[in-house]
Amino acid sequence: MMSTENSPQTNSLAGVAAARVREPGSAPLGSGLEARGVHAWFGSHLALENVSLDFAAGTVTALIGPSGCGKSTFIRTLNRMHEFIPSAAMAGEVLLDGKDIYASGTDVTRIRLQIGMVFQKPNPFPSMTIGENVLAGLKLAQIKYDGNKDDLMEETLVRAGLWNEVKDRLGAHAGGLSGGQQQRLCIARSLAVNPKVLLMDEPCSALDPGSTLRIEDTISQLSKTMTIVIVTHNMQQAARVSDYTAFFLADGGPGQMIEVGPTNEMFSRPKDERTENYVSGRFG
Amino acid sequence: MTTATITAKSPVAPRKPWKATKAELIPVFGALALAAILDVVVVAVTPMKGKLAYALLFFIFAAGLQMALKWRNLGRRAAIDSLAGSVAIAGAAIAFTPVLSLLATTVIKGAKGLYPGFFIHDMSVANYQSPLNQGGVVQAIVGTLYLIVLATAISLPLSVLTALYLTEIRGKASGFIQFLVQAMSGIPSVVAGIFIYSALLLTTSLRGSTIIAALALAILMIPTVTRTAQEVLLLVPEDLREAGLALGATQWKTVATIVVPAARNGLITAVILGVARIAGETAPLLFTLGVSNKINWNPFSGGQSALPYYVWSGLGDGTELGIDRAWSGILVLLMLVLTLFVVARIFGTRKVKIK
Amino acid sequence: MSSTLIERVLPQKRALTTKPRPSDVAFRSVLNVMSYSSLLILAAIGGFLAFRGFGAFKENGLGFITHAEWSSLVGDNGKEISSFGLGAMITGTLIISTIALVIGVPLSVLTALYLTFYAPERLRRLLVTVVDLMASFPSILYGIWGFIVLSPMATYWAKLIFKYLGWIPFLSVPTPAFDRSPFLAGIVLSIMIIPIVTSVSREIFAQTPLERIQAAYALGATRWGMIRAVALPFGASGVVGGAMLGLGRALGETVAVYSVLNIVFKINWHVLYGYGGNIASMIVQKFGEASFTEKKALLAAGFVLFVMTLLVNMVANTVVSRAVKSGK
Repeated sequence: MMSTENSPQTNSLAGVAAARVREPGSAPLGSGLEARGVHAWFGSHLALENVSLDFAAGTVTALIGPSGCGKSTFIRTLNRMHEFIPSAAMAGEVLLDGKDIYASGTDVTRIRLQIGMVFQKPNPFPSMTIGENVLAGLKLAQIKYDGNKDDLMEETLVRAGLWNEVKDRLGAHAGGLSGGQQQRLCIARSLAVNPKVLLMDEPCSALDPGSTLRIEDTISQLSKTMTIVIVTHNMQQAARVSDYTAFFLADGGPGQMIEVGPTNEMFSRPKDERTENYVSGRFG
Repeated sequence: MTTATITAKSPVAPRKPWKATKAELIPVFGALALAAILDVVVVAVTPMKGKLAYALLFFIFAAGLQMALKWRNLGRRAAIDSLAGSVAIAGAAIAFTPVLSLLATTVIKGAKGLYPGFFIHDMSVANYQSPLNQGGVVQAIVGTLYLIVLATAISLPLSVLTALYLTEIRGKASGFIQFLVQAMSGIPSVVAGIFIYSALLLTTSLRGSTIIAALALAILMIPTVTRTAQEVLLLVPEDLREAGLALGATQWKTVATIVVPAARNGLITAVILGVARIAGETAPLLFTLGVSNKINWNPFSGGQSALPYYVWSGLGDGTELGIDRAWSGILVLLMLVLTLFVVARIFGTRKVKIK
Repeated sequence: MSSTLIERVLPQKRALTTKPRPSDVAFRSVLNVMSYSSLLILAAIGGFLAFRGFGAFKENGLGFITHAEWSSLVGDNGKEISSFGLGAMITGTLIISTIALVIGVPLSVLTALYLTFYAPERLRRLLVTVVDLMASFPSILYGIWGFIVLSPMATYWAKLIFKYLGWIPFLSVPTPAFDRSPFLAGIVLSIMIIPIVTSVSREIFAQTPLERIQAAYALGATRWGMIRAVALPFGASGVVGGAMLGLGRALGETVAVYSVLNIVFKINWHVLYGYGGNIASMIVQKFGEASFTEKKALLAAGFVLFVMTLLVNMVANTVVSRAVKSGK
């Protein structure tokens, strides 16, 4: 498997505590993002049952599984985007640096500033220029940025791997970019507010293979400085970019997390038969 | 180091942590109550008086206190967000207040002049200054029903055929026709009235009658019916049309036996909406209807009455009794419009019927 | 590999023809003809009013639009001496409509925002129905309500405004007469245009792409931040179109304005002062007792009103349909 050279053992930031399943109520790790006993409902339909998963700081975790297995629902509970569906409900805890993001009195907008999200379909703001899009987060969250905004723009675009392509047309409208460029612009937009965690919900599913590779490149670069969770349909992609992989499955009932482990182990010697069937392409 | 234990299922209750808890709502409602108290106190001790002062001060206190609460708990951004929400609520409240006042006033004032005879008698036995237990609106009800039937008979064929052109033929002129229909919907009702007057009455020996007024009303009805009919015809699935054509039916047969019946409920809605549009129109009648204080069964000659015209005359009379009569007339008219509205809703929920 | 050019010989496209059956020929021709009924009606309205009013245009020239005086007297020699000018009525109509927009549009936009982004689902559905209901109220209802219920309140508000803001030129009054003012008529009209402006704006706001809304929230925006950055730029053209449709309604409204406005043939810039002008209401007011000549002049006034509302509505519809299309 090609993922062996990207194994977690070689990644110093992937601490010993990473990718463990922990019970609700156990002592928080104090860093990174931890889901404890997360359930999610749409109306009376239980879509996701009892998922506990830790995302240690500085790791990339891929969530894989067939359609409808609850992995997208799960990632949306991690920065409280789940609650935009009117009938939605949840149970459990999500801890960011040891604090429950669902605790009463929490400012949800601050949570989303710290846990950024990139969506399936690139969604730059069409009324804004490329440059304005990058800094849109500052404007939206009404953050007074002390440093030089031009430097910030350049820095984030470099981190998103887009700088060389757009540096001469920052004043142009974002609609003129290709799909892959738009998605990297969305990544840059998320990075500009300096989040601790970046959630990516199938970021490459609407892109061509060339753009996909560039985004994967960007993810590898970013993983040095932040925690990344990526939902993907593409097992090769999970193998290429992630340190850990979690397998989700809805076997007729609500979605559950079947197994989680270092990516190379998950793909070479999974413990659960269902994971084995999925990663070997027998279903899904 | 990797374990994948799924512990025994414990029943977990769904929560909505994003919804404010009771403990969080107490300060919110407390602030509202405090705003109300402050409101009363300030109105009592300062020269600011009246409903306007109450409303304005309550908004200032309530919005201000909520802002302060948000600012303390979550900071400046949340406070600005709270203010924006308060302004939106206040705007909606102001926009909806007139509806309540309109309905309440109509019911209260209109009920005064209602008595059983109001629906049986005409105004040949009384005038606007007669006591309220004399005379009635039966002639106006008959006139309005006549106008509705005639205006519908005139406008329905034109409207449905235009809608069919737009949805079935989709010819080169579709965009232009669409544009014209929309432009027609902006014709002021007074213009429709004086147009019919100038075309038919000004230089001829014709006098105002039901049919003449119905022509003016039909002009106002056509755009409403056409646009609604077009919407519902577009809802008829394309495969129904293709199924008809694939059976070798002509387009005419397909439309007549499949498309129009499928959209029947929607077309009824279209007509009702059109009727609701014209039932209360007053201005065109002033030029085209003539006058009658008793029932005129002949729609082609002689003046006619109508509910809006009855209201108009009562208001124009200006006396207390005249205005009371106007309120009673508007109550009857409003009940008619509300009934049409409800019926249109009922038909409108099932716009296209597919068996 | 791709450098070798392959010459492709494509066959000529065949024309798809059919000989339609007689019933279809008849069907299609009937629809083709009937679809032009709206053009015919519009042309007939414009044509008749212009034709009948031609005399008034000719005799008064440009003064028909600019002069404020409107009089028709029978002189000693039995000849009719008349002077017809719509100046005060056109100005008055524009002033009242402006007041209606200034009050009605902000309230409508706030209501539309509330309905789209704040109201709970059930309340939203109920209130959307109420907005539709408001649109179906007869204008005579607004007229009688404005005259009996609103008028005393508006007079009181006008006095307050005069007291505190009377130093602003157009909010001053020569003498304290506040009844039946353009201000009152403007408020009544603002209430009447709220349904159309609200429902057009709400429809556009409801089309705001979900992915943009989510993008804003995911960047830590508050609800207001999202509305400002996403919903308002997206819905702006729809709001403008809705406001213009409201303007079209306001320009042509007749009986409601007639019921609450003191019509005087003198231009009045003092909006709180107790008289004003309005083309539609003036036609109703003068028509009953007008001589043949004056009736023709009133028909000419109707032509002016027709052209004004038609132009406003055409522009408004174009703006709205563009906004709706761009949303799809």
